[in-house]
Amino acid sequence: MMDTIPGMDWKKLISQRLKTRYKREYSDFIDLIDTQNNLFEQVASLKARNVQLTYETEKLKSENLSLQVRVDSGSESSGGGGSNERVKQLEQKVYRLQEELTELHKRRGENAQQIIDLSNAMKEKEKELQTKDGKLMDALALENSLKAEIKHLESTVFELEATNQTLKDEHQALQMAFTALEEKYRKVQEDNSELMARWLDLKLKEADKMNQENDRFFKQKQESLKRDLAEAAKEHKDIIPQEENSVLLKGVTPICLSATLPTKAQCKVDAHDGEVNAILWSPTGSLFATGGSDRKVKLWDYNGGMCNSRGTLLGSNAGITALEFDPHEELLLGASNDYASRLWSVRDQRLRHTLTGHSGKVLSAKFLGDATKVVSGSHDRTLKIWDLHSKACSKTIFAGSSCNDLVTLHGTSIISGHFDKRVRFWDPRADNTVNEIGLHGRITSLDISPDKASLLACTREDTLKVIDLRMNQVIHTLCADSFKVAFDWSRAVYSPDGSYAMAGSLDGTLYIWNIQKEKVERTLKEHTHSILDCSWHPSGSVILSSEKQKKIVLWADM
Amino acid sequence: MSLGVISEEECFGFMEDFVQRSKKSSEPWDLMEHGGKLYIYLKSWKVLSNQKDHSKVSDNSSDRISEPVETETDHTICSDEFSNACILFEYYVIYSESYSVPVLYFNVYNSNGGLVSLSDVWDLVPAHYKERLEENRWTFITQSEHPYLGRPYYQLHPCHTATLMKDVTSMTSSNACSNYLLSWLSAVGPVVLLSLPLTLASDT
Amino acid sequence: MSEDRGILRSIWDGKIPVCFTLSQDEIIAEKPEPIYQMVPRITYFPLVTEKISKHLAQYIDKEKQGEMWLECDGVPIKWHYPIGVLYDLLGSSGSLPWKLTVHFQDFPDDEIMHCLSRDVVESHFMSTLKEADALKHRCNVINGMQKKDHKQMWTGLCHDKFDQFWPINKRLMEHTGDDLFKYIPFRIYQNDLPFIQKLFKPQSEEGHEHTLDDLLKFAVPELMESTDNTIFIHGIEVPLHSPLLWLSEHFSYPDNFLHICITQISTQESSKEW
Repeated sequence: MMDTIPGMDWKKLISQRLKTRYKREYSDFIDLIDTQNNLFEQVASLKARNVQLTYETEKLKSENLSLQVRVDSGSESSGGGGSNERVKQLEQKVYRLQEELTELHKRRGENAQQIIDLSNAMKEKEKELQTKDGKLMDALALENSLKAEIKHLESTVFELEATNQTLKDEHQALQMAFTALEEKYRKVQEDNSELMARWLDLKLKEADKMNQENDRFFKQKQESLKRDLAEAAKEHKDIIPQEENSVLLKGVTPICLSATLPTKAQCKVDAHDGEVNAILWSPTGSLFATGGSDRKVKLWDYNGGMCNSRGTLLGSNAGITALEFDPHEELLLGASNDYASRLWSVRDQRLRHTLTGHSGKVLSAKFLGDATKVVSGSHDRTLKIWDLHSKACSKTIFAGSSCNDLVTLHGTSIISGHFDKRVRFWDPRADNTVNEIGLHGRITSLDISPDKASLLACTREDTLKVIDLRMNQVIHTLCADSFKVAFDWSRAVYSPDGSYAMAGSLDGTLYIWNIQKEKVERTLKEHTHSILDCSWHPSGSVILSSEKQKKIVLWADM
Repeated sequence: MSLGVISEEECFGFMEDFVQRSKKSSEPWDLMEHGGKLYIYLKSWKVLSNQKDHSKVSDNSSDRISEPVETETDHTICSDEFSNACILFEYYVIYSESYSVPVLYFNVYNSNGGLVSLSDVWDLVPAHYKERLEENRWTFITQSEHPYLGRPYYQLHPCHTATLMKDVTSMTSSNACSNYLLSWLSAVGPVVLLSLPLTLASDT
Repeated sequence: MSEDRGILRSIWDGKIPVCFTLSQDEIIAEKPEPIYQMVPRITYFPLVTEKISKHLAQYIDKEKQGEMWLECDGVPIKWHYPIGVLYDLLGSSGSLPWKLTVHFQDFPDDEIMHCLSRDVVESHFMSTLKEADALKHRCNVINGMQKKDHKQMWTGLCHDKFDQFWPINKRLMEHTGDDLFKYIPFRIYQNDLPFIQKLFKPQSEEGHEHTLDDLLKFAVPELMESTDNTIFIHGIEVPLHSPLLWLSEHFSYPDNFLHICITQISTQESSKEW
């Protein structure tokens, strides 16, 4: 055992032995091994190279072989070694040149084709250019003409402007003239109204005088009558009973001094199919007319307590709403729901005129003054005045509300009753209302008193109002507990002597008021349906009434 | 024993007890001695059922691709050979002084006497164990040198044994029945197809 | 300490020239030249023979090619021993370079372990390292390390990087104060016998430091009686009175085991020149 060497530390010993080991096992061999490794790698690379070289050699050999073969074949075809080679070369050259030539030919052909194509294209372009030139010329010509036109139009504009200027000037002058004229017109109107007022005053005075004269005349007449009666009482005479209708003298307008109130229905007739909207005695009382919803107007006469139809007036396309005779009893004017008013001749019962122009139901139509003019009131909220000579509307008054009824006064002024509870007074020469009165209910009808001093208006608040036309205020109000106005066009009328007012009620009762006393004088009950219209015979003793269900009733005591 | 480790003497005692118990079973273990050290040994033939093995092979075919390249040598068993062949297991339980635990060494031979390769041994491991052991593939079953025979044997690596047995011994009461070796082998044996008969545990 | 470090380094740097020759029986055509290579003592054959295997495999029958294995004078080389151990055990009787025969056929799987990849080597190395720590510290140090520390040690060994390996290894070699290694991890090898591994404390019960001599007398008393044996560690005869703990710390292989080889002195005479 070696480890017992004295004086040697074990650790040093170990180090020493490790060093020895290092020398023995490592340093002695590392060079060798490295060299070997290098050699090994070299051998490997050389081997690889060798393999590559072998491959290359092989390749070269095969190439050589192929060349040999080619040489052999070459020599066979052309006999001689060097020249053969040259000939071959030349042949090759020739071949190459030939190929080149072919190539060039081909290219030339291509070029020629190209040239042809290009020239074609050029021709086309030229053509295009020409057409373009033509178009350009056209465009230029067009431009010139347009320019000329512009010039022309400019001058026209200029002229028109000048004209316009002159017209403007003229217009200005005319405006000025117009203003002046208007001023003049206003002055004239003022004069006119003043004159009118004066004229009215005069008229009133005249009326008063007339009344006075009448009174005097009546007094004289009564006195002479008294005298005659006294004389007659003195001499006894057998009295020959006269015919009843002797009271109603035809062709003569009866004068009623005092109306008598009938008590019983003398006659009851089915006059129309449906409502009988209008019933009216003629001014002389010799006949009466009725108008109904069945579009007919019928004329009747009253004889021996019987109502006989005198004929039917046709022409209306809808229900008749109102009727009016002219003072001479020649024409009958009827208003209709077909927006028109018509005039029939009483004698031959033919339709004379149709007055069309309203755009709503015509609810009332009256003669204005003499029988040459007519005024109509319509649901279309206008009044129209018609000239019967020209058969055209001469004036339209915009009333502002639907007109239920209208009356004329003195042949010149018009009073209309409206849906908006107002009574309007019109002067047909002026557009504006002269006056208006507001009542508490829709106005259904108007009537002028025989002395033309007051107006009877029927309203939907179930009262009749008596308006003093001079004062323009309500002076009497007539009403009754069970009196109900049935329709917007129910009518109330004065008695011929002006002391009574009469109207039919919803329940079919006919009411008669004493105006002065403002109380119901009589009620007449025969109708079973609402009463629409009534009319008092000019003599003051016979009453007609119509209802909504076909019937008319004639009231008389005789 | 509370740390999951046992002394050499304890281990030898358990070995004797274990061999005694196994004598009555169908597969009795042998108690051996080498240089004063005791160890136990069992030789066991197993027959692999066809179907099970086929399915296993197909299951693992994908795994195998990812394994390192394997060159087949003579001893290598084709998987097909398993299908109807008997294979021989040799089990050794030897006490490891280093780890103070018993270690299981084993070898697997096919019917031709050839050693079964490690990857094929892995194929024999029941699927439900393998999944869990996959990540420790290189440390759980390894080939190592048999300490007494000096030849290569497969080894269930002992470094996990103490941890495992710490849990097991703490669970079982300290009565006479508990044999450390028995508990341990019944726990890890099934991984390498070593199943102990229940009768071993009975106290007679 | 610098001296100790020098020793560590010297041990790490220990290399042996090896001559690899392809087995005559397996050559099919051209005979390849033998390959010479310096191999570190502390590493394992599978980590250094990849190139050799690839080169020599060109010269064999591809169809018969199996796992490569090495043979020395008819004895299959156990790759799982460090190369230094193998040389001291098998080769030191002959001359350098150490001649090994390379085989690709007839793998002796009843004698040596398979090694189909580096993973197997790593697994073996780590498990040996673990066992050493189990003996020294009851596994406490190695289990306290991170996975990357393990990896670093392994790669340090693979690439022969002393500076990469030792900083980690140092932790395994540490012992704080009186708490010495529990047992000294050692393995004693004799020619063809299984290695001997026993529990042996670094100190006697009386507190004396054990020497290498104490260990050998404990582990292989019969061998120590005869004088014709040589004890090698890392290719050198270590003085028997060297303290065992120091040897464990400095003379252990990377796997932390003290691998001690005992050979007949008769065969060793030629190398005892010094």
